[in-house]
Amino acid sequence: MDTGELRQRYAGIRRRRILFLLSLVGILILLTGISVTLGSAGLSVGESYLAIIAGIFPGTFEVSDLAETIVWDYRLHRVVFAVLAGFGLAAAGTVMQGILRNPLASPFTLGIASAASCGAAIAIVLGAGFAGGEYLVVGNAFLFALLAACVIYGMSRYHGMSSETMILAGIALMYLFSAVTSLLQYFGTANQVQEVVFWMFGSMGRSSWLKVAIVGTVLAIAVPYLMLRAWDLNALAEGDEVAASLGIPVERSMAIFMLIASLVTAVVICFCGTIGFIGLVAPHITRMITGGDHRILLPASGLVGAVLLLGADSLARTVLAPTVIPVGIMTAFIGVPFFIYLFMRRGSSRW
Amino acid sequence: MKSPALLILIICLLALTMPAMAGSPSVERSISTPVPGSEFTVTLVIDGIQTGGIVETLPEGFNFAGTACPEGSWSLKGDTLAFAVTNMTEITYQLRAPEGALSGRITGVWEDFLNETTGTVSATEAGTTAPAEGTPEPTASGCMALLPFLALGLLCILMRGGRT
Amino acid sequence: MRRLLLLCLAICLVLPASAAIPGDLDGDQTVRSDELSAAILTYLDGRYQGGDAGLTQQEICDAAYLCEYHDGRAWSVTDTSGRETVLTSPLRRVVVFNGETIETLRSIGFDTTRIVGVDKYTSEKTAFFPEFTDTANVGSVWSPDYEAVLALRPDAVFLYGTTSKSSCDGIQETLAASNPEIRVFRFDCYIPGTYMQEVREIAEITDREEEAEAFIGFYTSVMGEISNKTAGIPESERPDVYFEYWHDYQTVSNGSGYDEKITLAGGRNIFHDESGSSPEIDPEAVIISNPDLIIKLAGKSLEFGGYKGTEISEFKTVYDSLTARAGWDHLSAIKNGRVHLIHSDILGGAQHFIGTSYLAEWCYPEKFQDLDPHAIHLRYLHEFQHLEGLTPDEAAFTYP
Repeated sequence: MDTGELRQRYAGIRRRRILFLLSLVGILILLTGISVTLGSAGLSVGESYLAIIAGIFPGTFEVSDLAETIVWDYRLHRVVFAVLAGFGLAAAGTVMQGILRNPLASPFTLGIASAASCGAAIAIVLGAGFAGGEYLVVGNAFLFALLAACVIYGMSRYHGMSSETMILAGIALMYLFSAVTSLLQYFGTANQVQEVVFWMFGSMGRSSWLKVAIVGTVLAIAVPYLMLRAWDLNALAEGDEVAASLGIPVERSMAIFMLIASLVTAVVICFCGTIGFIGLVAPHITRMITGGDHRILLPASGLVGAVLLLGADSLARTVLAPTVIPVGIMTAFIGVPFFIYLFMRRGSSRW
Repeated sequence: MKSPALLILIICLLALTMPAMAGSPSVERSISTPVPGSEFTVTLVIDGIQTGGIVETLPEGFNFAGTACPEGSWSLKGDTLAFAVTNMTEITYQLRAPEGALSGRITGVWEDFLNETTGTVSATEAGTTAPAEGTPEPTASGCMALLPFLALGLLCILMRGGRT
Repeated sequence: MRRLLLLCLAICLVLPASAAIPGDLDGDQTVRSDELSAAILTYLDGRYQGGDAGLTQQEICDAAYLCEYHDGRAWSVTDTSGRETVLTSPLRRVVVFNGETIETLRSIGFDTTRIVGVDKYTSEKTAFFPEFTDTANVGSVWSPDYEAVLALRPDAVFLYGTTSKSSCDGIQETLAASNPEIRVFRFDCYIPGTYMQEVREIAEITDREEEAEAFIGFYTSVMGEISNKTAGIPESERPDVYFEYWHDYQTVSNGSGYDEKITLAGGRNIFHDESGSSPEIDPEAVIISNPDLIIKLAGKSLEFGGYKGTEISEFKTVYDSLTARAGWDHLSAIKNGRVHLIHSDILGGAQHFIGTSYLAEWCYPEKFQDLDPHAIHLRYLHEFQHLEGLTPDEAAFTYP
């Protein structure tokens, strides 16, 4: 095989990846466009779009008050939040899988999601927390998630920052926080238990423009940084020694990546509850198509996560309308069959 | 004994124990004056007991001489006389006083099976030589009333004991 | 084979004797008055006259009770689970696992000193159940403290009838295995459809038929008045009601007790046909259906008001947040001021008839002008629950 052929093949691969990325963007836009028209209010497709435009450029179109309220105060922020949350969870999952070199790594395996559930349970059952009023549960979930991240960081530093220590620490924390959550559920009343369980299912219904802004800001800072350091992720994914030999400060990089991933996960989970599978499945799906290069993998899996979550939420809202099924259940039902299909179809290549 | 002080004491004690009587089940006993050698009647007045039992302990020398209660509702055994109380407000029975000057005390306990409580019937002195004023009046039964009455009885016995 | 049959027959003959009625001498399952007298004498003989111990005090009291209230026969009662229990003695030491049944026992004048064990939720309600603050705590139907129950030597245990069926079945089986003498009764005491029947059955168990009829008269006068006035109203003329649970956009549908009460009050729950008894609903659906009446539930997760009477100002806060929801200013319920909060203390449980009368008043203000739910509430507390000292403010239970 000569250079020219290699170059051609590589160009072909690059083309395919870019095509995949662009088609993902296309799918996402399409899905967003569809999601915005879904809802029990019975608005026509045209009405919904007009309402969006009228909201951005007031006075351009005549839209009923009701339509504008529905679209801007109920639908739009939910759709945008689903996109951002899906992107954030998938990106966090990709980063974690990269630095831990473990296909099972996800916000759940590191105990962050369990810690958030524990914080929420404490807020619900004991009524104790750091923030007051409606942000009681949110504040607790966020702080506990970060607490878990710090504990893992601390334990890893003590024992040496390697993927094994992080995973072990993460698993231990996951079981610990799950046990505390179960204990709280045991002592809680039936209503409190139901509340905790509902919180753990995850729901996009609690979104608001403020929350969209918060999550958006965090992502706007984290994602570009991750993109910049994507090459370091590639190196880390090859192994600690390889990365070190390439001049990457291994321990510091791992710590930073882990903290960023934890922060993104925490800020998403605290608002919408623990939504599983996105962080685990989206990176795998993407990797099967684009390969392991994080410069493409990161944004692509983010987009896949966004599509997954938005699709799941849209289905959850419409399948039994007007009843809303918890979105965490839907993500499993959508993500897992697709994942199995891809898994069966791929060759014997490494994950 | 003709001590007016004792009479006043009796009346005061009676006044104190009266309130304990109101509302709760009770059994009161009264007797006709015993004459040596002949029968006298003992009357039990039952208040507030629908289904229950009374057991009287007869003093030595005083023999049971019959009762108007139907067969199967009373039973004599040794010196104890048991009555089954079923919706009756009065039970009478006869005792034969001993020849000569003998005295004794009739005691009793009652049980109320519906209210699931028990109590005692205050002791009655039955003596052929018992002086008039010294005879304890029928008073309220119930544990609270018993104490001052026992004290009174003791007082009477002591006084009488001084005589003989 | 024949021997086996004979053995079984012999056992069957012996068994009734083990469930014998104390005082029944001739085995005819009845204690006649002459048998009673004989039994009394036997007992007195054994106790005071030095005879053999024939009957225990409890047995003779049982016999007297049977003669007095049931013509000397055992009596049987069927509870909500359909099980028939034959009773040969009164209830003396009762353990109750559900507060609704305790409330009902109070309403019919049962001697509450005979309740020797209560569930933990009743123990905690010091305002409503002041006489049980020192009573033994036996846990709850989901985590019962069997040792506590057995240590109390109860002769009767009350459990839920149809709720938490597996938990209650488990408790019933366990108790039967350790002590078959304990009589287990299953009553819900909070479901409108079965409550009156249950009151009658409990009255039969405890022989308080008179007081029970007085309470039934009171209850049916309230619920009957409501149903009479709402009976003929066709579906289309009933007010559309949006009922919200403690959580935003969680509503009730058929299968939920609150849905039943809305229907009883003459309203129409707009989400009656949804699946799951308390589903989360798309906020748009509420706006689109434009309900006539909006009711939000307070209590439990929205911890204020009720019998605890804490933080009554929270009612207004929640009310304001309801009316401030985006797009809700267009709803006719908001414009007409037909938004109400009600506390679960009077809408759930045995006091549901009080809450239902509030609901009826809100659904049909003109029809039920003379209905005074607060007066009904106070009458219930003072006359039937014997809580003369408890006169809660209406503002602790409903708003506005």
